[in-house]
Amino acid sequence: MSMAPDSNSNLLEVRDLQGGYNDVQILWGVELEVKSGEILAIVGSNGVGKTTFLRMLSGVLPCQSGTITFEGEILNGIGPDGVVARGISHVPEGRRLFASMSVEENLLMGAYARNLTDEKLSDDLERVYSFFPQLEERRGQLAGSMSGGEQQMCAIGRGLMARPKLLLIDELSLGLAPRLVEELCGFIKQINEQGVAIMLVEQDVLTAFELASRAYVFESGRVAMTGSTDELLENPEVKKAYLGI
Amino acid sequence: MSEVLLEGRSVSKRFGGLTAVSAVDFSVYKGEILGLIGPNGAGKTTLLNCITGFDSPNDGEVLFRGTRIESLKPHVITRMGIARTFQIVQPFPNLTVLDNVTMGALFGSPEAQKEVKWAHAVAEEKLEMVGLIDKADNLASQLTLAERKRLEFAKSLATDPEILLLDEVNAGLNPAEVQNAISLIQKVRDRGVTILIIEHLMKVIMDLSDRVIVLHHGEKIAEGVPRDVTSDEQVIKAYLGEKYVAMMEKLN
Repeated sequence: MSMAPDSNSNLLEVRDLQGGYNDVQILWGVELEVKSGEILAIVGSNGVGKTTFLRMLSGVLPCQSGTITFEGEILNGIGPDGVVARGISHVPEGRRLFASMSVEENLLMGAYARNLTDEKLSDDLERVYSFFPQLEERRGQLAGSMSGGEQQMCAIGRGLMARPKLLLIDELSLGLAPRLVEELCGFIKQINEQGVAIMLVEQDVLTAFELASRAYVFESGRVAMTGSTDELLENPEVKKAYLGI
Repeated sequence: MSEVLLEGRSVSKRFGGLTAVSAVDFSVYKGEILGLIGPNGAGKTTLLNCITGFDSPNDGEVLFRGTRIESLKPHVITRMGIARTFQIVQPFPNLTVLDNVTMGALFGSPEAQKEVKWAHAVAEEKLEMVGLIDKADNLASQLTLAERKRLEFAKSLATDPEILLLDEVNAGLNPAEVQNAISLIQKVRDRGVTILIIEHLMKVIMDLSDRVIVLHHGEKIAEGVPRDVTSDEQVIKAYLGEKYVAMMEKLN
């Protein structure tokens, strides 16, 4: 379970968000809130717009209409660098590391926009290495030569180097061995305990629900259901459509 | 199920000082589904590369229907009847989904049949099978990651293989979608295609595999029917984790 959210503080508010690619509209009015310090899961079948939603939050993809408000400030149109600077990091699906750069160089790229002194940078690197000791052992290794699990750690570490208040993770468990997924979930909890809110898009619904306190179920570009993960786990529709039970 | 279709004898592959695959023996029997599991970095994909000519083993032999193939080129091996999918999908991004699969059909067919109309028909049938027919006219670059994995599957099927090597084609599917994927693979097998499948989704492995091989640090650490393999202490420690075992016990 995540930290008890501060009762009335919404870190992020999304209202009537619409958009997509060129003339193909994917999202049709998404409504969603993230509270400070919580872990939230987004689940849904393939092609319902989960990844598109994350891309819009992080400013990679423009929205056609609706608003994204973060700590009271409207983020629409400020672009990916502005979003990162305000405290939202995106760990993309498939990790997207800079394969021919070292682990440490990848991590440093995460802090690129912050223009930090070397001293401050090394503090932040230490912080990431304290979460992921394996990355410290491999700091000089090329990111592309690591196994899938280590690459996922590196991608999360790169996201943390921007010192986010909200970390978006797209498909944490993709292509990873069961034992590794278990291990990564432990890391996610530790990161969350330090006050970072986490939005998890995940196909492994059981794992996602175990980590998160609340979840949103996306269908056809809209939020079809939302509630506590305990409630949703008991919902017969959720069980049938997303858990295969 | 006694005829060995594909066989590896003491296959090893080294990259510099790293032994990725270490003296692995395996047999794939005609008509079976063989699961290949192991931690990330265990050498599963490298073993597939050694079978399909993308890597050549430093030691050992790979035999297909009794013929040695370990030094043959990938395209020759594919035309012999061994198809594979790639974990890192690489479609032709600016061709349509249909044309991507058509390439597979044209490539795998005997010379006499190299005709686009025929290949399109084959491609449509395969797209129908994997559930991508609605996207036939989209560019491959417009597909989601999970859809691109289905496309890999369709492309490899279109080469009309005798054995199909699947490298994590189901990653990114949710549990309900996984159920459909399982039926699909079953259907392919029922049509007479032998299957070697790498997958981290244990439901797929448990439901489909007749036998399972487990690799760890390049070595085969277990082999047998799924239930025996998943209760093996070494396999739990290296791959499954205690939580998985606890979950399975709860479900039974």
